[in-house]
Amino acid sequence: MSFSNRSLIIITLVLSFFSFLSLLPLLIMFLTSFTEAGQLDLSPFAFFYSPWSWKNYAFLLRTTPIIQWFLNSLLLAFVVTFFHLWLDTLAGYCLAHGELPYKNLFFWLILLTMMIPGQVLMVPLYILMTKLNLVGSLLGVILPTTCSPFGIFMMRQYILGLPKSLVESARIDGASEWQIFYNIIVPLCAPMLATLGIFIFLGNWNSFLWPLVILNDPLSFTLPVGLAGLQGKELLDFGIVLSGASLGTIPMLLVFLLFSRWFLKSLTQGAVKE
Amino acid sequence: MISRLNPLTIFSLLFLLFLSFQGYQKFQVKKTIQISLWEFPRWKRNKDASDRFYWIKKKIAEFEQANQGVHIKLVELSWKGGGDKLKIAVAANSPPDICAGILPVNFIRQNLIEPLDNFLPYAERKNFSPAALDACSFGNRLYCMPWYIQGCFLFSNKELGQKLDLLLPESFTLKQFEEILVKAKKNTTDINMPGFFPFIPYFASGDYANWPFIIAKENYPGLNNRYLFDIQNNRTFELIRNLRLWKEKGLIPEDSGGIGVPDVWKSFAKEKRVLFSAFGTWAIPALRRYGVSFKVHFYPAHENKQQPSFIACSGFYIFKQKEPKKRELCARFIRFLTNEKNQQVLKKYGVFPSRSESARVYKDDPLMLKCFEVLANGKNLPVHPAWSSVDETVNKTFQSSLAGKKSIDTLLHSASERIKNLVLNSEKEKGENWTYLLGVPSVIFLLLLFLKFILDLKGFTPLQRRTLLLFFLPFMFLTIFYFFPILFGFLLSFKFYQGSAGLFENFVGLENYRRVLMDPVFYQSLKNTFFYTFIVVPLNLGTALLIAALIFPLAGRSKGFFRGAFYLPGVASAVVISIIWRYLFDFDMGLFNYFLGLLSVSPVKWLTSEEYSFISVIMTAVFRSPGGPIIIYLAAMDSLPVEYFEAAKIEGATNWQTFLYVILPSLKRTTLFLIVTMTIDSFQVFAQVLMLTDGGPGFSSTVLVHRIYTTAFRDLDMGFAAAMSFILFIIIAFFSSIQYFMLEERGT
Repeated sequence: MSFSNRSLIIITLVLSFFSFLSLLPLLIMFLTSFTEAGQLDLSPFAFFYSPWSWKNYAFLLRTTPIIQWFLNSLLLAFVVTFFHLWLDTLAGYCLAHGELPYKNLFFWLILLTMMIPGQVLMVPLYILMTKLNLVGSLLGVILPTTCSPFGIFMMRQYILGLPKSLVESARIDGASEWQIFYNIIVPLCAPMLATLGIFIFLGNWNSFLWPLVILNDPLSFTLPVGLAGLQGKELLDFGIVLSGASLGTIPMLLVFLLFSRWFLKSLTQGAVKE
Repeated sequence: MISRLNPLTIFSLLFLLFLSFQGYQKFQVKKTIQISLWEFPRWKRNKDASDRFYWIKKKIAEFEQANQGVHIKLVELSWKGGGDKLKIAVAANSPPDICAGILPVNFIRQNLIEPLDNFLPYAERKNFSPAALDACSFGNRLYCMPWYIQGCFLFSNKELGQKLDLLLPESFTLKQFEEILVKAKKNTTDINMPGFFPFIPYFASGDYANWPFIIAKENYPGLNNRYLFDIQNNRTFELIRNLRLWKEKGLIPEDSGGIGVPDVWKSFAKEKRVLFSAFGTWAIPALRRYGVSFKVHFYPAHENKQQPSFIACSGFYIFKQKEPKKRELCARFIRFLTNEKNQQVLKKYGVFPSRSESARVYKDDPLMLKCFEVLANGKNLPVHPAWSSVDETVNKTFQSSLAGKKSIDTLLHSASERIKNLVLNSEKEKGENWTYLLGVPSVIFLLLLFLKFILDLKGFTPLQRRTLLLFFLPFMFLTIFYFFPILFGFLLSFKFYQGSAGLFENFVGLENYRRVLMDPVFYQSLKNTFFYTFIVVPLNLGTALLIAALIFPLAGRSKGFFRGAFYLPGVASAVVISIIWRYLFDFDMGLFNYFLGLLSVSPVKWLTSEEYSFISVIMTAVFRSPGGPIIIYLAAMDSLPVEYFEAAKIEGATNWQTFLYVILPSLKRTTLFLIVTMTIDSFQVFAQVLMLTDGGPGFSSTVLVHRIYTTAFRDLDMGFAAAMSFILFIIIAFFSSIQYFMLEERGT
């Protein structure tokens, strides 16, 4: 597609306006975290006129093991994302271009598991975790979140869109299934892996209920779980809520930048001449 | 051979090694006696501290010092979600030893709690406030060591009262109270006070602060009533009508009934634009901290009878213990925590100790002493397994009777029918049933399936077998963490679930499904869920496609920026986003009503009326940027071969034509994926509802997963929740397969 400069500018302006609206909550959160909690009692929009202050952050750093929580969250999110992507792509390849027996049966089985609300699975999973003696450890949080039907479905749809002739010619050339997977499928999936990676990373970075249920020791808490424990029953402590939440967005921004490098223009171009 | 050592094998080996290590840990002998204590956050040491557990930690250290060889492990719960954690652990049959909280009737009924009668001699009970002991007993046995009492009062803003030239007596009748409100309203017309209200009542599940305004003393809920609660009576009718009249006169806000505690608290304590409001005792220290001058009142008396407030008593309870020695230690520990000396600290928390003498901590505080007297005559809530669902029904009925347009009679009638059903259902005998016979054929079926697979294995080509090897690990994870739990959940839906019962016990057949299908609230939530899905999915999909198409032609940095700008906010912070939506939807000061005012349209009760509350929930979903779909679409567009565009250029296609005939057709598979996953997601909508309206007012904005969540984790009715989940599953499966076959056949 070719666009004249004028239409590109118009598009940019329109998008800027909407993205401003969309970014507003994030901006408000950031600014509010630099506002003293006392000011917030007066108005939720106190950040607008009250002076900058580091007090909320200083308070959290001084009185809580927030760095430990932060590192736990980071570890959790990275480990889960890595294995999640690997397993999803593996299953996605088998279900798309692999010669998997009962392909359709497996595919529908996986699709159907997405349709059960997660709330019912909590108790059975907890029982499983007690049997594995994993209650209270980060691994107990990681293992059940390491694979998801959503991710498999997503990768399967994407891989189906790649030319099957690539895989077939590699097979004829004598490549093993693992070689095909690592050397052909994974590189071609880069844009989708980046997308899915962001979903998984951010989803796990923010996840609350499952880590809360599994973790028992304050030093093994993740960021959302730790911050929730600082709240009194009746009234929210806005300073803590917002500075904690802002602290939580920093790695999100970083990861987004990191993954963006893989949002490349398609690698398939010119790979196959049909 | 080395090449065969692919990551799969290594990973599986590590996994097995790890599992065996975990198993080994279990068999290690423990020398000390371990007691686990689950506690909620309480008070901080001072303003500059953040640890809300310092007191309990100190006490644990003291107790361990005095009793060598005892190790108490504290698990810090949080108010948000902590209760769910406890219920999940109990349902999974691995409860802690000691937990703090109010009397857990559901656990007691499942025979999970130790009676404490032997650990608190009758001679000592004289020291306790009778109300506290009463609140901690079930069927004449004490199950919970009373710690502190909380209750509700009517508060007034002293400063506002003086400003409005009002005399605010300590107690009044309902008539006199109304006169004060009318006078207050009249006096404000002289002074300009925006958003002023003489009084704001509110109702929410688990909150009884305003019940004395609607229920007369003789109709208070109680166990002497066959159905717990007689809601359908003339007095309640009169009192509700009275409140509706107040609304018409402008004495209480137009949207009372749908407002939640935080909003009322904000108006009363921060914005200081409300004269009267009812809160729990927690408000006393909080109001002092905010520097609000306030006065505490008795609830307005009906026909010269004082209306007592509702009270609740917190304490510690012990889960069933096998070893007598450990049981004894647990009891000693909770007695230690609630002894007279240790109750002194409750002063900091602004609650009332359960021991009568300990109330002396407030001897310098006449206000608290007075409140304590009032609470001593307070009314306990009935201790009954069906109470939490009855409480929900009653509060929701009060919400609708204030917020809605339905006649009071109809509302009270349907509420009373519902309460009867809930009570009767909770009393039903749960016994063995023939349904477990269903289990046997299904197990046989699964075994046969597996057998067939093993037999088929020989017929597979080498390539197929190698692919199976690739598929093995993901499939193992899915089996362990999805398929097994789902099967378990399916079993649950035919059972009356008790954590301590065996896997194949307590079957009740199709009883849970029958209850779901008989429940009118289920149909309301079903209707809302459908409504939500059919509006939100197409609109979000359209927006996503539009925005993605606009971002696509951009290059480099700006593309990356917009990609992030539309995705990140959606996951940033649910708290902040819900605060902002609440601000937009606010009835008096909200932005939406301000704009409507500019167009001279009368303001809308967005979140607080039965007509609009669910529409508001839908609006939050429609106006939010659908970040996920946008970046999925972008990734799909980016992966289109450049040749397509070059060919289109050569043919002289306009941008619009390129989009319509080149891009759009190649997005078919992505669109199918998005439609299916978005439909599944929106059938499971939950978080927005919980944060914005909690299903209210009445049940007007409830959705299926919200019902599943509340029945599972608040009422501990796992069977009912599982039955609802599988009905939802069938609905979703039906729609997804229709979408799938329609789109898949046309495309690819």
